[in-house]
Amino acid sequence: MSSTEQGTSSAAPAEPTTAPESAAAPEVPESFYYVHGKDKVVHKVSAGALQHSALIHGMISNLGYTEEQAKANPFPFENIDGDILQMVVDWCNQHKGKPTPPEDTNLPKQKEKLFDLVLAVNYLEIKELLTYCCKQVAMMVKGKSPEEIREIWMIPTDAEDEAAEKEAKKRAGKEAAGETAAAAGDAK
Amino acid sequence: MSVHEPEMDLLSHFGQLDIQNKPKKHQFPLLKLPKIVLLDCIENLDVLEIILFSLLSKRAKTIANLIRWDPLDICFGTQNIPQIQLTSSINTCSQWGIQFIKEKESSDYPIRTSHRLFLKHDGNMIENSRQMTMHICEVFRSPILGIEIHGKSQIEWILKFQPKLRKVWTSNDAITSVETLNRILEILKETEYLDLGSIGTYEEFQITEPIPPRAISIENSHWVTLSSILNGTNSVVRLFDSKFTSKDINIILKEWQMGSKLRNLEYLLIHTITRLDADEVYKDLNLTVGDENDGRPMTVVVLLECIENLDVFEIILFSLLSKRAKTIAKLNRWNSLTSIILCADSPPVIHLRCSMNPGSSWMIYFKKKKELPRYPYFEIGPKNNHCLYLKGNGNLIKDFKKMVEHIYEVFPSPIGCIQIAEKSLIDWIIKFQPTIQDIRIKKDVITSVEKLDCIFKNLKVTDYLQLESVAINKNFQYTEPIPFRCIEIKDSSWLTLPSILNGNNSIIRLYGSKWTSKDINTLLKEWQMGSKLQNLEFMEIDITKVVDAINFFDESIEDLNVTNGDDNDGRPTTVKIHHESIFTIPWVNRVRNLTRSDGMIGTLFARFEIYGNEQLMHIHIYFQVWKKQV
Repeated sequence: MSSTEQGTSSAAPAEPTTAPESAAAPEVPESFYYVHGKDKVVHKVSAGALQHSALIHGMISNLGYTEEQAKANPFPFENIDGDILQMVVDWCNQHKGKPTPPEDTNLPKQKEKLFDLVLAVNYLEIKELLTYCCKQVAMMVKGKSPEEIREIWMIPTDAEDEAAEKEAKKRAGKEAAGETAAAAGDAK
Repeated sequence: MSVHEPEMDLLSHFGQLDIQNKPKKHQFPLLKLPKIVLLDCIENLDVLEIILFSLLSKRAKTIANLIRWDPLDICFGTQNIPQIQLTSSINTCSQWGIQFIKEKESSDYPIRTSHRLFLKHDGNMIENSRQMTMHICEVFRSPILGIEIHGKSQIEWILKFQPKLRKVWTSNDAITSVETLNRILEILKETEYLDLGSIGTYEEFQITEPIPPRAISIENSHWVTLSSILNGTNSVVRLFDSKFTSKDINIILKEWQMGSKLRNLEYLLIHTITRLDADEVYKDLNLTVGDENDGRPMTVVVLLECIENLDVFEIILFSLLSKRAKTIAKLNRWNSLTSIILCADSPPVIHLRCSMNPGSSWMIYFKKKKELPRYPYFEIGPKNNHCLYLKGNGNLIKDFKKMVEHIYEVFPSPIGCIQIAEKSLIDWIIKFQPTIQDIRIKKDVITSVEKLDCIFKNLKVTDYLQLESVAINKNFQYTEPIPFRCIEIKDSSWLTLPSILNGNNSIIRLYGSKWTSKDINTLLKEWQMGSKLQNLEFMEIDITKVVDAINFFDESIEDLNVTNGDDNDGRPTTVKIHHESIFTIPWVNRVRNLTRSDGMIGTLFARFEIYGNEQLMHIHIYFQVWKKQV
């Protein structure tokens, strides 16, 4: 059954059109775009490499920038750390125009970097890289005991979850009471 | 989500481990990932890892429950040591076992090998195993396939938890009373296979009633009488240490030959404790001598192996040939349909999907006579869609229901989605499968408040409800919550604010709503206070005939502490509406953010459209809940 999206939404991608075999495409010089992360370090990336990111690909597909315009207007990703963006750019460059292998050994092994990488990759919508990252996350707990799983993945106990929930409710209640009191004060 | 008390005991027993004070080295805050990514990670775990994960906390169990995992065949045995056997229903070579063993044998529980998990029990192995079985059934959304009955308490437990079972077996002397035996026979109405060990009842005890399962194998079967077998419909009968005489066996053969009894019989084995007289066994029977080359199947299973090589449609058509063919088709292990999707439209379509071949689908269409040159008519359409056209007998919906019931019986796969365009199908689906992932009800199918109430109260929709306009009195209003995760309602003028405020929906999409700016304002305030709509992920409200849309929006955020949002604040650009739909959030120049005390951000924005020539406007209000990740 098809989805029921409507209006401006575009849940289903358009069918790709296939060029006739005999029509040889003319050689087009490769275009480049520029991105920077939180550290403002600008990375030059080819449009081919950026095709891995559905988000960036969607942004650049209708721009038609010249080299100078692209350089003058780097895409800012202030929510991504510089070293993480560097990793993503490197991965996109390494896999530019290539079929993606079933396993990727170039992913970071440090868990704190992997978390930031997963978030960045999810944000930038790089599907293949996200799949690798998710496998890597699952690999962290291979052969581990429940105590180790809980520790590695920072899963709170029920008691901790309940305490956090209670605390949040308490805080919300206090804030609401504060707002009501402030509103009453204003009215006076 | 509520976890039952016994399960809480299991969780605490299993180890609500106090590790919060340990150093946070090499950690990965899994629960801080966006839900879709988190599920993608968990789906890479194997069955035993998912079980261990689901036992960590209630929240972990809720997450594990959302995984799209193939159904498991779950068998629960208790011989000597209770153990749970799990088999992938897709790949029967993939098996896992869970066993509870004595506490003092090792301190390093749980111990796991690649396919086995050994857990420590707290002195009550049986109870621990039952709780674990229930937990696994819930996490993997799979029923128990088979169970070993060892006594009355096991029967009462399984009767309460899951009264329909495919396989039941007992070990020798596990049954010590007629009462227990009778209770077992009561639960066998839908059982395919019964393997009964010797029973410890009094010597004179006899049973004359038929024993229901298709295949029965009974040790020390002196208590099974001739009339019990003759009046039954069993296909495979194996009786050991029977007291049947030569005359009894002669009667069985004669009755079978006459065709009035034992019509489903495929295989009969009787091992008697009395000496048989061949002349009496064959008396008055018209016998011929057979030889080894007459094509007689060497095993009963051979037939099943042939059946398993058939395609989905071929199995369905085979199962329609006769009752016996259906019985055989039901035994196929080809139970890997991931879902049955029903478009009960006009004409109705049954859409089958199979995890062994995810790129393909099988569609069954019902046609009126003479539309096609012959029936059944096959066709392979674009995108590897296999189509089967069947001739309807006048009432297409009736034919459709019958076929769905038949397929459900042959492939024990649940209906994943139903689209209803005919009123009678509502009562049918409530009765036939009251828990469903996705239901879509077409325009004017609902004609009364009672019917609407009946759906919300009797149907458990686990993911998505789509409701087109209802044909009920225009002044009618609905104030009760709709207890489903995602609701999408067209022409929702009847749905009131309390219905939403008191509900727990994650995705809300209302079109043609009559809510006022004050209603929206109340809803936003309640969300920000955190006491209501705690699970809300995305809301889209389409309100018609607004005089001044800008003023409407401003009134909606009155007295709220809103900030302006920007494009680069990390807000997700998509939202998962339901199991097969991801919605791309429309881009607008300006959004307003509300922040809840737990750090969740609610982003609000609106789009406007002029409405006809009346200078009235449509306003689409979007509210997206998210959390800053980086």
